[in-house]
Amino acid sequence: MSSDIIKIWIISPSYIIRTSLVSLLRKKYKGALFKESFDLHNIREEVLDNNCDVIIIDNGFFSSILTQKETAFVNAIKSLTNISLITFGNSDLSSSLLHSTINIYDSPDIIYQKINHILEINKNSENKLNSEELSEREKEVLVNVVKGFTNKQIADNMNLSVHTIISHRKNISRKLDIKSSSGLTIYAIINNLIDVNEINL
Amino acid sequence: MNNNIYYPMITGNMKMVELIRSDYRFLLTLSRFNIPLGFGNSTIEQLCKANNVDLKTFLMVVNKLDGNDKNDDDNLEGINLNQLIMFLKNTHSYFFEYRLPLLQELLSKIVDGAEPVHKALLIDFFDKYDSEVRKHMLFEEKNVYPYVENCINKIHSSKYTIDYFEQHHNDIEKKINDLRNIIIKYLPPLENINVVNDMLYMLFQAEDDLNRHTLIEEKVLFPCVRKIESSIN
Repeated sequence: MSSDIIKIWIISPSYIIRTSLVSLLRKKYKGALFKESFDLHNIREEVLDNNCDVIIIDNGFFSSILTQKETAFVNAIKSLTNISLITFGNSDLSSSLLHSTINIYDSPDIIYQKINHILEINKNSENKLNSEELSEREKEVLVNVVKGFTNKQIADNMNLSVHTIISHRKNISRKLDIKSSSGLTIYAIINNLIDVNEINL
Repeated sequence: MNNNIYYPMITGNMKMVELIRSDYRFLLTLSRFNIPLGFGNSTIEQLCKANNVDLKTFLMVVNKLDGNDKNDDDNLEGINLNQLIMFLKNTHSYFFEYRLPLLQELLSKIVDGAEPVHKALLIDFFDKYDSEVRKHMLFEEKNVYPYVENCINKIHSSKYTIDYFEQHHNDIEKKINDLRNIIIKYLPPLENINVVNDMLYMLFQAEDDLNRHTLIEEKVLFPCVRKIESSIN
């Protein structure tokens, strides 16, 4: 959840439910990204790949009171990221595990209200450290990376542990959305963090 | 809940034109199976037959690409690996002979008016990427595919197994993503926005195409070979 774009994932075997939910939510959340799936297959892998804010799961997938197995499933999904789980369908699933339940007969306003509430909670809990700008430390690490130093060398230069350097590098790549070191080099030069004569291409 | 019920499989009696209409990226799949256009209202089955394409292999590929991805390794039985490899090789030559040169041409057009340093960096970045992709694909053509062909002929000659190749299957989409982001997010705006957009479209396409190529290798080719390996040993 490092960007401002809201990502909503809708999982229901029903085409009609998925598409109408998307069109309903799209009216309210302009610019939000929607992902649709028709079953729970491979969901754990996909949750890891698609960092989303809200998952809306058809409650037809669950019993009206969650069984042990279903509880474990919900917990597993939630533990992967701090995603909000909402169920949707024609019965109100009662479980403290879920953040909210939308009923199929809810009016659009009620649905918006429930989702707004969830997004509000997300926003407040989100760490403000997640800003997109590179910190001064990160800039320093970036320059060292671009100069071709290894993690060990950078750690020595900056009096930090290798572990810290690695975590800085991860944050740099995530913030910039540039993963290769040659891509990072271009970024550093464009932004005058380093002079082109200081590096060997 | 039974997942099978909601499984919109692509089947042989579907019209080929409907397949294309459902997702025009299948145009690339067709040409890589050497199925020519101009097929009127023929069904997938008819066209596969007319073009000597194994129906089961074709359907497996398009269904995987369409996201119908059950872990049904049993269904991999009877896949025509020779045709699958031909399909994968055709994707490679598409990149070698067409896609990469075209991207290079577009790039040199769009950086023409850019700052000399930026221009040199981007061209250098792309050149390195170009050779990386070629190296990756050549490795597969020289090592992985011949290994698979040996497996088909029940010769277990190599000291490698497909697991080894899979572990060394590095992703070549990463740098396309980087190049795209640099142009969109960080580079001072370039002059000819129409050509820039063409370039960006093509980068998105190439990344998607490579992802789909990798998907077929990892979800169809590798599991198939693993099966053969265990039957040889």
